[in-house]
Amino acid sequence: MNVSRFQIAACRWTTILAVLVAVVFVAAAAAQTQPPLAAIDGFVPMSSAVPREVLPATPLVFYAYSFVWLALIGYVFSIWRRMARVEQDLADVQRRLKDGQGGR
Amino acid sequence: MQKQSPVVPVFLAVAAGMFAYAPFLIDAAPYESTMGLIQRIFYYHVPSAMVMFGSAFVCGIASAVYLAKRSPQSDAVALAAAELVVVFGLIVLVTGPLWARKAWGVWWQWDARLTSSLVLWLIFVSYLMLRRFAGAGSEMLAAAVGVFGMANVPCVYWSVNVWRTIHPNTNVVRSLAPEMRLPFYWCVAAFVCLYVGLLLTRLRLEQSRRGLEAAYAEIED
Repeated sequence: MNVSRFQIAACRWTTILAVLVAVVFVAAAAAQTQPPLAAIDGFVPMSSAVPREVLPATPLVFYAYSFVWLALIGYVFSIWRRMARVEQDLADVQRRLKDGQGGR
Repeated sequence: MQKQSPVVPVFLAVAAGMFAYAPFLIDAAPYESTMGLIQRIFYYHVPSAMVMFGSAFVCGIASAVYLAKRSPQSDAVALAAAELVVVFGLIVLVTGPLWARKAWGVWWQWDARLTSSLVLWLIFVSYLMLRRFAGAGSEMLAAAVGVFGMANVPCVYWSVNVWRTIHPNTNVVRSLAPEMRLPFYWCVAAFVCLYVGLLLTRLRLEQSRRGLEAAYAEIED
């Protein structure tokens, strides 16, 4: 791998990891400082409130399962891309090596 | 060029088949009495955590072997396993808060299990950053971090039993109802097959990369 490509890859990975860590901490901090969901503009008597689930579980379950699949597919794609790049470079280098030996 | 191990497609195909059937088993399992539907996240969250712990052990043991014998093969295994700790750890750290939001009413709690899991994940992120940016000779330092990360796993696992925490303790899996046991262990097996397939594939990538570096060195000579 030449220097410029390594630098580009280093910058990319630093950015990805920095964003990832920042997101985890900001999300955790935001979760800690959420205001309570109390009524501010007025109170509704319990008898007239329509009984319903305050926080439906379905979207959360959907997001969880979707994230698992997106993360795994993303990782497989990243391995596949890196593998293709390395094997292409390896083939180029082996060709250069063969040419060099032929010229000797 | 490294040849792909013939067992990799087998592991990946078995994992794909098991994951395809898993939703039917999960759907057939009963709802948990206090949490209801949201408890279904358990079937992916806990197996991911188990694989994360297992991968941390693979990384730690391979790192220890590297420190003792300087074997490049064990270094490659440690690197591949560390990357998978970060991937499966990310799954655990994202699916957990989605479950917690409904079950506990908050996305995150700085309690022993959650915080120690985050620390474990960050240790392996730092392992990868060391390998990526610390230059030549970083293998030794990273191997020490890998061993340290492995040593942290029992602390994360037992944290729910030792400290007061709102996270379910380690008895939950052992005391699962029989109807919940089958989908759970099915998902565990699927995640383990996927993990082995991904580990071997990542290992092959690392070996190809090392072959490339050797070829570059040969050209320079």
